[in-house]
Amino acid sequence: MSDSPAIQITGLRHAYKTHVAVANVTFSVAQKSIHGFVGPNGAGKTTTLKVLATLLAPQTGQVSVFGLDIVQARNAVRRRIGYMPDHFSMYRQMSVFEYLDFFGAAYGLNQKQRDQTIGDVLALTDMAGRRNDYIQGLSRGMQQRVSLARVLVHDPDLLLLDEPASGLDPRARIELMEILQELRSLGKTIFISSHILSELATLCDSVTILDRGNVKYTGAMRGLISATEGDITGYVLTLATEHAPLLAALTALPGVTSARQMEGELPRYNVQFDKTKLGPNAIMQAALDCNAPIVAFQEDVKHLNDAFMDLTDPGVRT
Amino acid sequence: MRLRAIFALFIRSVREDMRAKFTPIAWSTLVLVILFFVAINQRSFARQPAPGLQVFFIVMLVNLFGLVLAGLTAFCSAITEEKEDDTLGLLRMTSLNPVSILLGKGLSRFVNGALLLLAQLPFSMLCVTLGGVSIAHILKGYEVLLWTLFLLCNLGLLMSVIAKKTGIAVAYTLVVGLLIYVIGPVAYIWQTEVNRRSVPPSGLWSDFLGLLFANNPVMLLGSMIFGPLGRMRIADSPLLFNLILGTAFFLLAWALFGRFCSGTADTAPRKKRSTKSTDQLRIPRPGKRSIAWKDFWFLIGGRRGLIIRYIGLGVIIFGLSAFMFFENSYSDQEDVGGMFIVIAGIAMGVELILLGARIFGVERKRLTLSSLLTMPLPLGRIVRHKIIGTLPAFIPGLTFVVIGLFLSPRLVDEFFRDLSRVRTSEFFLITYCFTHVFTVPLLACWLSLKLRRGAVAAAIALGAVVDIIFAVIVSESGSSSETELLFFGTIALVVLNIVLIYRIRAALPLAAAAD
Repeated sequence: MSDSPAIQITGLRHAYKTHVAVANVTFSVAQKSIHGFVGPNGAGKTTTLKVLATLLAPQTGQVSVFGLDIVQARNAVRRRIGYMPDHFSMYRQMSVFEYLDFFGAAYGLNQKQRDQTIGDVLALTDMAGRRNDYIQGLSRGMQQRVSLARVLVHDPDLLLLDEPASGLDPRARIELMEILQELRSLGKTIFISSHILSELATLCDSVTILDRGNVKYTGAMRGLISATEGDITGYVLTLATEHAPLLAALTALPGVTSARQMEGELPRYNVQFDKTKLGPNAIMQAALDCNAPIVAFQEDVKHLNDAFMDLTDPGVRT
Repeated sequence: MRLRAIFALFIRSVREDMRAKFTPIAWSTLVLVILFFVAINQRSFARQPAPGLQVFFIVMLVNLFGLVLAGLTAFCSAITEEKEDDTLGLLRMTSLNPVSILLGKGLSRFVNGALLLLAQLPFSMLCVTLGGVSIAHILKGYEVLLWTLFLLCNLGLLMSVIAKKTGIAVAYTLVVGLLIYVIGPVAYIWQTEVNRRSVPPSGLWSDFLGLLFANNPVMLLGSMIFGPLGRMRIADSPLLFNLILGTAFFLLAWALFGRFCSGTADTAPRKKRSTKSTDQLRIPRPGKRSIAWKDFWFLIGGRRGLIIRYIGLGVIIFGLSAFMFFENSYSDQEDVGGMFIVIAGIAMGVELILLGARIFGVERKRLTLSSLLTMPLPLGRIVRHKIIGTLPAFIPGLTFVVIGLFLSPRLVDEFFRDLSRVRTSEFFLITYCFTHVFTVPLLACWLSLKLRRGAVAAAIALGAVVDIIFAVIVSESGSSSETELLFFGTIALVVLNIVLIYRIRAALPLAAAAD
């Protein structure tokens, strides 16, 4: 595999008649990473994904996948990508095995290879027990798993997933994220779109935020917070029991801008501080020094949503 | 308040229809067709008696053809479109009761159809200027059409309630429509003919068949056009028959609504097929032509689909053969063989149009075009494999054609003898017809990528309009230039077919991207 980025998009623009869906998009995705593609409804995510999936030709700009131009080397690109649209695109009258077998054969795998691959992808998606069930009888979550299995059947290097968690219940969402993490460990590059940033916070290595057809941020997930928050960052301390001296000890630290108790079953404290003056270690040390019964200490992920709100414009796109 | 709730859906539907692009296009097309007939026939029928009557009869037949197509598309999708879109449940959650839903979905379609007829009325009056037809003729003709529309609308609505999918509703409507408009009147004629030799027909069944015969719109229009108007009495008015039968269909739809419309197509609990069914085990695994494999087994129904086609076609062909053989003592093996060929040919033509609309239309409906077109295969190969997969659907028809050829060796012999003596105009007529066989399916295929539903009906209607215009031009031209016209007509159709192929190629990626 070459060292080229898994995805390289430069100056992409795509319009539907007079409606400009993607105005100017430039970003790249490193190989073997999970990249989140986030934006409000109508931001241009699906159009960009369709260009990457070779369904739409870029009107302006250049798009390459593993160094292959998507227009010049369309079929070579198609062999290396697996595209899962944001809707159920399935032959529902087939059984799970028939469905995967059909796509395997269409991608040129022989029967032996198909048997091996279908077994593997069904095991990975935890659908091995349902291989002979008809797709139309499966629940939404299971159909989503079969869709994912279909995308994997020809062993692509890059997965393009358009809002794969939409419509799934919380359990199915968590299980889907676990499958994606496992796929990353197998060396796949995953490009996943969503309009909920916090959903991708723990999963993605990098993220691109799109709004009204323009890139608002692209880079590491951690950098997103620093890009919008300035010097202020936040952490949450969770204690086993109430500990009155903690708030005073935290507020006394130089650089802490605010410290407040949050609502919840266990006592939780939100601390905001200037990271140029103070690090999270100092917060932890202060809590330990006053013998607080610490259960958890973590970054305040709510900041991601705040960052998203700061980056994107309010209102519905017209 | 209650009345407002009952008509809420109807008002919404009428508003939507008025805003839709289709409505003014349909109105304008029908008016243009009438004006075309009036203009073209002004000269040609001038030499004949009652030219206005001839033109008016053609206009009525075009309308009747349009009604049948509308009955099979717009009316049959009234409720099934809500089932297919998963919105029937939402409608039922509102204060709308079954009557409101049925009125809203059915009445709006009827009103739209009636307005289509009304829009033509002033232009049809132009026939009076050609002579031979009175305003009373014209009003009577539109009355026949209006009440036929009422019956068809309610029949389509009933089938739409019963069926889960529009395609199934269309099939049901076709069967019942054939019984009412074709088989019933034919049975009456047969019975009358048979009994003329013995005892006059009597009894409830005979009366019912007589009613079907007397209220057949073609018979009514025919008797009106070719007989004096005075012969058509008030009792002959199709009002009562259509009103009673149409209302009965509506009431039946209402009664069955709760039973058939409690769940939607996608949310209704499905009968889970056994995972080890023999049907599944018999399906071989896909090979290199996996797309052909998919379309053979899952689009045309595989071996089971072929058997059903054999049985369906066999029942029609053998039934008609038996009827022909026993009814007409002059019929011999040659005639039966000829009928085998004709019926099988018609069946294959219908199959070709349906497959034209389904080959990509089904993929578009199921949103699977994007998966299909992101396969690392050239578009041409995908299309070729899909065609290969659907070709076996013609095997049953071809089988009956071959049987027909064996049954009628004299016919085959005559055909080949005549082929050597065929005139140029006849040759071009044959090539025109042959080219036309592909035009309508290609139109259906292209339209299936553009329209949500009704591609088959729209393709047939467009094909018919092209044919009628062409036939009128040929008949107008006189025998000297007929060959030239047929030649240019064939060339025009070939060009149209090539353009359609290119349009389909261009529309496919767009449809896939729009998934």
